[in-house]
Amino acid sequence: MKSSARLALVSGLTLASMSFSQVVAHAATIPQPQYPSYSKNVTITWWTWTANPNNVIKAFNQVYPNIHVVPQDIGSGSKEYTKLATVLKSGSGAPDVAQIEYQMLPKFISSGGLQDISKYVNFTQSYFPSWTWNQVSQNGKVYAVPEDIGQMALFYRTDVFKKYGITVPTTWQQFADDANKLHTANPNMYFSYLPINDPGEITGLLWQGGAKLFQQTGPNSWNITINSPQAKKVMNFWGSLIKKGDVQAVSDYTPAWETALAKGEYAATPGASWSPAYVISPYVKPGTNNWNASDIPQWQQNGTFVDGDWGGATNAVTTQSKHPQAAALFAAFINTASSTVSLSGTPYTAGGRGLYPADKYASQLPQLNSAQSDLAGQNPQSVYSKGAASVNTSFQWSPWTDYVYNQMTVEFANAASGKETWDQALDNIQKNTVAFAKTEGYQVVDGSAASSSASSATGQAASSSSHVGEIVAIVVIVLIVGGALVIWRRRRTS
Amino acid sequence: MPILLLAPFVVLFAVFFIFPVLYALYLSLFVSHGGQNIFVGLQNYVQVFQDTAYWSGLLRVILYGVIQVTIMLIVALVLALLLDSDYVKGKAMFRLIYFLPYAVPGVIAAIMWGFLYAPQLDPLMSLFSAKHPLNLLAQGHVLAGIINMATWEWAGYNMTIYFASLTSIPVELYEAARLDGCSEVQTAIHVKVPMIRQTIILTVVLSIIGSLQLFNEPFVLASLTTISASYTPNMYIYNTAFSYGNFNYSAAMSVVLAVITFVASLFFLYMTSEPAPSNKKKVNRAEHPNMNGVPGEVR
Repeated sequence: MKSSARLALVSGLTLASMSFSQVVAHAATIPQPQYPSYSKNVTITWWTWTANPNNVIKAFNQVYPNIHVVPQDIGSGSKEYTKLATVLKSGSGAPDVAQIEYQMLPKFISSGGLQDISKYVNFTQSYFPSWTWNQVSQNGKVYAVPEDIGQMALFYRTDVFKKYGITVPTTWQQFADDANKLHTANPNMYFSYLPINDPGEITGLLWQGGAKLFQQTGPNSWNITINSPQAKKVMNFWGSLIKKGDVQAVSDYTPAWETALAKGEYAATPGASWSPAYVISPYVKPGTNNWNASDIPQWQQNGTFVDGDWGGATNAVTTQSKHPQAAALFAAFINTASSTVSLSGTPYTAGGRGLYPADKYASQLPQLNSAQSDLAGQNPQSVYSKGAASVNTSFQWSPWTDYVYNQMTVEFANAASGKETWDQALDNIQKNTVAFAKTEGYQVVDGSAASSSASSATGQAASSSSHVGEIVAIVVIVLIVGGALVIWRRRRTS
Repeated sequence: MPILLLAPFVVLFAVFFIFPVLYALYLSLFVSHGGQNIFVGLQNYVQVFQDTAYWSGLLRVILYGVIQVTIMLIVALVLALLLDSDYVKGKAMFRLIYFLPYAVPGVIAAIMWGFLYAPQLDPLMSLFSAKHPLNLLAQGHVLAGIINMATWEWAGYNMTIYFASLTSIPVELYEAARLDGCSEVQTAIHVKVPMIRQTIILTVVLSIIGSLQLFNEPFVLASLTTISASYTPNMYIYNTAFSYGNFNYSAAMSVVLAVITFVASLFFLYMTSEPAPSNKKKVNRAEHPNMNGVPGEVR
């Protein structure tokens, strides 16, 4: 949610910094499926905040001239979701096709806002990495077509690594050693930063660390395991680096963070495939702009390579659509056809959409498989392809992403400032999310480990009763003070 | 049918005021499960009373209100008295300058201050200490930052109300005070302030309501800081409805907040009303038309 909001935010700033070495929008062809024909004359609406939607529609109409598409930009991320939830609830006004990020899909599916379009779009399944298809499906039904992805990678400054003799880390242990080495050599620099206000990135790191936060066990029932040992491993790793001072806890997309990035205070950062265009190049200056991409560090030295995802969106068909087949064909076409996927991979400054397409074959596009100016001339395609193919497939999102993200921001901020441990932060998020999901009417299994759930249950009882005690005390004080004032006034007037 | 003449008011009042309130009350009695509304009576209200996030948000705005309203109204009153005194030249210019912040939309002001608070950017902040600059966006200090923003924005506005009220005090009173040997300061304290007592009470009531409904500033700052979604009751209500999609619970929280606001305002009015209704009060009202003509959006 957040990541895309800022995609649009920074889009205006990146004009100059984002130019690929060679931009040939329609030259390359990549494999595409056979599309069914559609003969009816219909008009559908498409909510999207991506750039240049009309170019995409033009390419679509060359194959489907009968389907007239009206694009509407309702705002990016949460702005669109707020509006979408409202019009879905009110019963009219929803678009046929809506851009929705992966983490928000379960919310709109479980509120009954999206249609099963499997019969219209299943022919495109083999064009997407299986993890993206898992994320747009639920219980054998398909609700959206993947649009773009944000497979994670490590971005680092080549000049700093060279100056301090640091080798690019391939494991998180090496990452920690490098962090210590750099910060010891130059106390004014941090090896990296952890954006405690950016649950999207932190969830990507948890995902890469093998944590599964949610598992759907039925249409309305979920198993919640936010404080799993894997999650605790990841957060304690970052927590220890922050405590040592080798890595800084920050709020990203704030002026403070932008200044630090521009000054070159950070040597490396985990990021997504869209990070060079949207995180790094808008803020760096000449002298701090030599970043390269590398594989995301691994938790196990010799295990299978695993990656996580941070960001990316889908195109979903709402239940209010009167032409679900046309809408589904549009969603399928723009994310699999050679012409439109090319546009997706083309920078928006060159008339494209500036995305990293979810389509498997997008890596063949010359726009993506070439030296990138915002990566100091590096061709990152091998890194991105490897990452996209290695994203943990069984990770699921929940219908309460807004709530969980808010909880993460609050608790991780507490943990970073030392008010609680990172274990406690995850335990609190788990406890609160379980309680919240229950009040929302879901059947929830608290999947914390048996011992920790027992302790957290008693802890919860203790803390809530003490809070109730505080509130009762305050109410009593207010009543006593109020009563005393009333009596005093009566005596004064009489 | 003279009653028909009431229609323009009654219809608008019913459609845009009574109906939304009743609808919120109605919504708050249900729970929505998978698109179906189930009647649950007062269950949402029971939940509100057990919701520590809601009450800690409320305590936060009360703390904010006590500090911010006091500072803001004292600043406004002092500025108004200064402008009303003989000491100041160029009154029209100062009045305009003090009032200007109010002309900046609240959201824009919040964004602007958000940037000014960033320790790396603001020259004043970094003056305090080069090594550990005061960070008003940090978790413990952000309420102080919001207090500063609101005071900046609303002090001039309240000053204008006070100043208008001061100008309508009869000149004879000043002459009498001068004959009795009052200094300017004594006139201000013993004549001017008592004469605008009703105006001050009005601004306090409106400020109490404004504090309880604090939303813009923390909402904008949320993207720059780690402010939670339940930082103030109004933010919590908004996020519950539009982020979490739980309109029923949100309606219950709104109703509770409305009742608390109503009781708090009423209580303050009761505490500060004149001991016994007298002619003096009526005269005051007649002499200060601005008291009835103040627009709704006042802190």
